[in-house]
Amino acid sequence: MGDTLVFQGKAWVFGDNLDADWQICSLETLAELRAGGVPLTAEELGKVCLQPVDPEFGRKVNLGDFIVAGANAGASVACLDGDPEDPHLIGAASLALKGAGIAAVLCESSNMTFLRNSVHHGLPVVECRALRGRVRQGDELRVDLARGAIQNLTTGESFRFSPYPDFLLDMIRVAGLYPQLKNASGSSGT
Amino acid sequence: MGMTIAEKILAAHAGRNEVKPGEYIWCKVDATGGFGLRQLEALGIDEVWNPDRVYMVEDHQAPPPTIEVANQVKEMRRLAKKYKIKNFFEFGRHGILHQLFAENGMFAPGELVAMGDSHSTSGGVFNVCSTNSAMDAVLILVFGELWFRVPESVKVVLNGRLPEWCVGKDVILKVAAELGTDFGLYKSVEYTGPVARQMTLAQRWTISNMGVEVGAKFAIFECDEKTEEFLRGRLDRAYTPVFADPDAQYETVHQFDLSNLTPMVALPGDPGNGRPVPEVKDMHIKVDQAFLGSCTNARLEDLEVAARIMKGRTVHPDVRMLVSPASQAVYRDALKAGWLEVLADAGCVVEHSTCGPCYGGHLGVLGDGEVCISSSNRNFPGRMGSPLAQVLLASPATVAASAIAGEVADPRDYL
Repeated sequence: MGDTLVFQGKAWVFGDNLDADWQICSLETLAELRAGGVPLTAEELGKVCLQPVDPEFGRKVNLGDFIVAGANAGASVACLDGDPEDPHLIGAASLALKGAGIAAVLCESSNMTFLRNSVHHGLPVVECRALRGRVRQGDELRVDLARGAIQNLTTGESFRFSPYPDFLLDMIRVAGLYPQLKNASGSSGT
Repeated sequence: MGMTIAEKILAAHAGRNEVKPGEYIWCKVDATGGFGLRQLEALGIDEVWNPDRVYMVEDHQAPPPTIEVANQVKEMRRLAKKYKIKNFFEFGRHGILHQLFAENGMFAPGELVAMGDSHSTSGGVFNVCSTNSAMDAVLILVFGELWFRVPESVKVVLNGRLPEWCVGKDVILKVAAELGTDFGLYKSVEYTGPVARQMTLAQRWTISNMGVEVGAKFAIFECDEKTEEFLRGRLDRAYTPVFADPDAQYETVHQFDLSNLTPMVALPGDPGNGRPVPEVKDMHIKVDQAFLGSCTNARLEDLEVAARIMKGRTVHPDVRMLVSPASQAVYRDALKAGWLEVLADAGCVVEHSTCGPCYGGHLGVLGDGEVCISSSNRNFPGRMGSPLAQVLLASPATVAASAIAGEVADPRDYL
C-alpha cells in the first residue's frame, strides 16, 4: 500500500482570496441547512462546498482531488471560519472541503486561521509560491506531503515546498486533532 | 543574531535561546479563553491544564437576545463550574473580553496568550504576544501548549508628534490606508517611535486591537510607565518587559511622520479606505447612526472625549447615537465621572457593555441603505446589520461630532 501522506488526483483551480466564509462554506448556506434541519456534518457540508462559486462542485468533485488556489487561500474578511451561532462548528470551510473528498489545498499563501483549522481537521494546506500559473483545471497532480514535493503529471513539472514538521504530519495521518486527542486520552488508561 | 520582541517571547516560551521565522515550535501558553471546553468534554477530558489561567465571558450576545443563546450561556456556566474556571464573568460584572480580561490580570509583559476571538491581537498593547486561536484552543486547555510557525516581524516606527485631537484610531487608519490591510499578513507587527510613547495606553490599545485588520498575528508595543500604571494592582505575578535587540532582523521597517496627521475616517468597505476628515467633510455624507463602542474604542477616555464634545449639545434630529462602554468597570467609572449623564442628556442611547452593535448582532443593527459612523474596527458589507448598509470607521471624537452634525464632521470644529 502507498504512504498515507502521498496523494494523487485532479486539480480544481481557483483564484486569489478564496473566501472561507462566503465561498468555501458560505454562512448563508449554513443558515439554510440549519433552517432545513440538516445535520452540519462534514458529509452534508461537502455537498454544498464552494456552491457560491460553482453550484455543481459538490457533485463533480472526486475523492482525492485537490483545490489549487492563489494567494491568501481561506481568506476570511469576517474572521469567522465557521458559524458564530455554533461553537462546535469551528473551521466549517475545512470540514466542508474534507466532506467533499478534497485531499489537500495547494496555494501560494493562506489565511493562517484557515491553515490551522484545516490541519487540525486533518486536511493539509500546502503553501508553494512556485505554483502560480503552473496548474490548469483538470491537471493530474501527485503530492508527497512528507517529502515536500508536488508533481504535475499532466505537464511533467515538479515543485518543492517546505514540509510540515513531524507532529503535524502525525496529526494528518490520524485525520486530525480531535481523533489524536481521543487516542491519547483513551490510551492513557485514566 | 539579534531577535525581535516576538522572537524573544516565542523563544522563551519554547525553552530555546533563539528562534527563526518559518520554524515550527511548541510553546507554553500563559493564558487562554474558554472556547473549546465543549470539545474537551466531548473528548472525555475532565481537567484543564490550569483553571486559574482560563478566562470566560459571554460578551457578543450579552445578555442573551434569544432562547437559543440563553441556553448556550447556561452551558458556559455549567462548563465553567465543571472545569473550576475562576475567571468566569457574569452579566453585570462583564465586559468585552479584550478589555475585561486585561482588567482582571490576564496579560503581563513578556507573556504569550492565545484565545478565541479574532481581535485577540489587542493584548499586544501589554508587550504580550497575543493572538487568535480556533480549534487549537483545545490543545492549550489540555496541555497548556500550542504550536506556532514563527512569524516574520515588521517594524512600524511612528515618528513626530501627534497633533492635538488626533488619537490612536487616526494613526491606525492612516497606517492601514498607506500600507494596505494585508501588510501584516501572518507577521508580528511591532510599533515603536516617539508617537508610540506619546500616546496613552488606551490609544495604543486601539492600534493593537486593529492588528487583525492589517492581517497581523501579533501587534506589539513596548512596555513603559503607562503600561505599568495600568497593570499595577491587577497581577499576582512578576514580569520582565521584552525589548527588541538593536540588531534584530525585521522583514520590513515602515516609517511614518505623524506631525501633520488630521482626524481620519475609513470609507465603507474596508478599514484601509482611510481618508482625512477635512477632505471627507466636504462630501457631506449623512449618517443615520453613530456608534461609540466595541473593543476598539470604548474606554474611559473615549467616552470622556465624546462627552466633552457633546456637553450642552444634542444629537442631530435625524441621527441616533448608541454608546456602549468596553466593560462594566468602564461603565461604572464613566457613570461616576458624569460622562454617561452628559451623553444621555445629549440624546444618546447608553447601553451596557456588549459587542452587539459592532458585529450586527443585536441592540442596534442597521437597516437597508443606512449609514453608520462607528468607533469600531470593521466596515465590510453586512458587518453591522444589512448588507446594504454602509459603515464608516473613525475615532470617538469624530463619531461624536458627526452625531451632532448629522454628517461626517471634523471634531476640531466642536472643541
